[in-house]
Amino acid sequence: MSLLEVNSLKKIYSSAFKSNAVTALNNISFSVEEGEYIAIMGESGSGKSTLLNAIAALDTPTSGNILLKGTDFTKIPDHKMAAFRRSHLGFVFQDFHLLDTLTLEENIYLPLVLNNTPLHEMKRRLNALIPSLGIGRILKNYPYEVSGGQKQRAAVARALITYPDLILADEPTGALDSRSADELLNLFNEINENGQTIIMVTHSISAASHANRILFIKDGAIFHQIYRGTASNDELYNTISKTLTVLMSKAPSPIRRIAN
Amino acid sequence: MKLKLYSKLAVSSIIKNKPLFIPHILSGVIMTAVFFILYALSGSSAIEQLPAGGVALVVLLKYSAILIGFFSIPFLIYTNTTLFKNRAPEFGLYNVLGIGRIAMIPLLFLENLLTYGIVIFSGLFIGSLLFKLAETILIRIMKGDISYSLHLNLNAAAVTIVWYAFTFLILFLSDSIKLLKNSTVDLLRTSHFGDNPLKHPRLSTILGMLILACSYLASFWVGSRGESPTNHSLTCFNLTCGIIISTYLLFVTGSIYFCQKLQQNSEFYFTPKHFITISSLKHRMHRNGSGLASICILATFVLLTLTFSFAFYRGCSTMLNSHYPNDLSIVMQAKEDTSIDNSNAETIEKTLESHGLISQASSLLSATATSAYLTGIIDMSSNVYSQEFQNSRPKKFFPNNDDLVDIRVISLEDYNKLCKTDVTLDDNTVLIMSKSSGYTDKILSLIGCDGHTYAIKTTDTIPPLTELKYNNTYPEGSGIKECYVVVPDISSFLGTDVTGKTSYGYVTYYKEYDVSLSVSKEEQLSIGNAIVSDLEASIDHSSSELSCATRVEKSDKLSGLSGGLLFLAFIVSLIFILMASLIIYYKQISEGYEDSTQFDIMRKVGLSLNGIHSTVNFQLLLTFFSPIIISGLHLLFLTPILYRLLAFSIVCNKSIIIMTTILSFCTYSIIYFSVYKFTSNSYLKRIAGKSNS
Repeated sequence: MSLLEVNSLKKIYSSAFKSNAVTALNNISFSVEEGEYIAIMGESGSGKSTLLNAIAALDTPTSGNILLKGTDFTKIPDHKMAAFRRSHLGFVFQDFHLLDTLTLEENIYLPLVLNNTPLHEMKRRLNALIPSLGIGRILKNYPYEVSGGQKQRAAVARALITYPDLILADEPTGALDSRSADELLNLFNEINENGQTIIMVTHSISAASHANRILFIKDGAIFHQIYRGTASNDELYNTISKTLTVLMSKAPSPIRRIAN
Repeated sequence: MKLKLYSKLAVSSIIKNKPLFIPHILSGVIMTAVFFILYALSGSSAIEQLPAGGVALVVLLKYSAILIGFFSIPFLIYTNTTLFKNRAPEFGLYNVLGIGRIAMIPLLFLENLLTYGIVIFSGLFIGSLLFKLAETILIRIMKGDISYSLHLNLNAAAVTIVWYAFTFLILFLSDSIKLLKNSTVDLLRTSHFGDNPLKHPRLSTILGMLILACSYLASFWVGSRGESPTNHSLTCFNLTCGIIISTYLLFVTGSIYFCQKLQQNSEFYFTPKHFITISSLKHRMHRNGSGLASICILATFVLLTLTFSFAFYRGCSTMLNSHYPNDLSIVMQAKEDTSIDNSNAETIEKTLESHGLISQASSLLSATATSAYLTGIIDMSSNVYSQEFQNSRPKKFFPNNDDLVDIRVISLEDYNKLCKTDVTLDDNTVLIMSKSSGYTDKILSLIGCDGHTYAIKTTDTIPPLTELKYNNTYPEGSGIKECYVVVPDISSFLGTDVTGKTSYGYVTYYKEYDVSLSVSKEEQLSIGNAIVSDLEASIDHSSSELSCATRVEKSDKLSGLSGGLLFLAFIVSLIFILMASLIIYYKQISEGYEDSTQFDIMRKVGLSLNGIHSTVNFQLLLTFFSPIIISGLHLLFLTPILYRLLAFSIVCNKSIIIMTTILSFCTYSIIYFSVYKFTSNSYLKRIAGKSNS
């Protein structure tokens, strides 16, 4: 059984006047195995954020379903949704989404606190994360006191601390300088090598080139996908950029191939 | 050219930043209006002419005006800081676009000038409108009896204009300093700044609690003295300042210190229920602490004013009984002479006879003197009056009436007649008693005007003077001790040598006629008017001062006046509540945007909508109700002083005072709560609406 199964997912945004409905997602189906690192690429408005929001259970699809470890979470009632989300999913956002009213440490603890985790357990988990994330010195600082890269590492810690089944990252390198972005991507690789499943939405080819599989979305449907196979990051980078060129061109050709 | 550009910029920035300027301007308007009304009232002749407590009320109003004036400064600085913080990026942008920071100071000046103009104009307009309204109603009810002069209002307006010009100058200076101190980048980012950590939260919290405890204790001390609080004006003033300072300290630092302490208790803090609540509460208090403290203090003022007016209104009949005990009373006060002008007394008797009222009248001759009081000894030979008073006003700003006693001398003959007894006295003995309790054994001896020492006749059979109906100078609880001295002969007791001891100085003779009328109100009024006009024409005014009034007439005036005061207090409170709520509401709205992103994050991290709603609700409740709860506490602890103040001037009925305190608190709370309900719904919608999308 796959970790995540997305089956014929459809999302139609309709305004009050039904005449101009917009199809954001059109029959998307794919599955994610445990330990995979998937990048979703596409232009603005292609539907990739809608897809991520649906997987994050922040948005309900018009039709189709999403199964996480066999549980259809489009059927989970609202009041249980928040608990489900914080125990199974971890989030990393472009603009960090840290609360300015909390220190970084408190921000990291937030989902665990909501889960009623005992304090010693929270501390144990955080201590285990500190060495790889390098945030030990800034834990008592507030988000507005540290750099973007540090903020994003704290956000990653917050996502990891619940031991989620799946990490969802929405343009995680979008607000970072190239050095911090590289550090973050290396961190993601490290996490992934330890068995963590990651789905990342990104614009950046270099970010996507760190993933194992790349899904290309256009007009609300999966247009193409690339598996890394044995390719290096640089080779994958070239393949992605070539695919994007085709993607941008007017005549879409449904090619499916495995990079060298 | 530059001026034109700047004024254009200033006007457009105020218009564009309306949501930010409105709370600031509203706060300014409420402060100026309340200041103006209080100041104008303290100079109003209507208040001073109150039969009792007028002077106390004037002092109270003046104190309130001064306190409101001083208190406006931190309050407006607070609203201005919020404004500046939000506008800093705009200044940063001007700077980037090429306007130097020094060159922006004229712009700041123009903006502040414009704001000041709007504030002072609307404040005075609203203030004088309400003042005029109340005044008109007062005059209407009191049948135009009190003459007003416009010049008093102008005076109050001038003081208001000057004082708030000074306040806004401070605001302008603080803005300029902030503008010059911060770098352009800082300015661009200021509105996203986090909370500055407090310097000594623990110290200032302890200090605040200490000051508050001292103030409350002082209130009980003043209340327990059994005297008028005006005798302890300095203590009262310090106490008020103490309450204001400690309220600020506790709201601004105490609340945050409290949150910090809770945060340090990890087991308690890191639970779903407390975690978000405490951290966002701390953030909120950081931003709004001083605003809430200001609202709390204003609310306390309003509650005190309401209570005072309610008590005044409710205590009217009590006041009427104690001050005008007779249906018709004619009091003749000697001006210069040793005793009363007997020909005038005869004229009064003749006039009463011609109206056929002589059989219903009783007369009493008495003399009053303010004397020194040392433990157990009354000394009438020292001229304390000229030591303590000048032009019938206390010499000292904070007088101490501890060592004064008010003496009323009456003759044994009158006493025996009033009490239906036949007590006898020898030449060296006098009777001393208080009005209600008869003989008091606290006084051991009495030194007469000539230095002669009299013994006090002690016997258990001396009845008290409860039957005595005369125009009470000092009501019960006034603090000035009062006692009656019964002597065989008044003039020989006081002596003939009264040089320099004229009526306004030392000894005053009174001849009173108390007439009971058993006819309808209208007839009582017409009889009163007829007697007044008869006496005015026939009495020799060079030797005597005459006051003649019917109780019916005074009763009308008094209820009119108290109704007018209550109306005014009600209006002032209402404006205050509405404006305070508007200020809070606008802050909610502006913070709503910021909060909604915060709650959006929490939702993504896994907080349910229910959780968000309960957190938001708790915060709203706290910001709305913490000021009123603390002001209720202040009111509770100020009750002893309030009681004394009211007992001194108006009523000394404890249950009336307690009832009115509760009543005004409830009235206030109900209005406040409805405003809360009205405003919080739209805030919740905003938060929920945003985090749903």
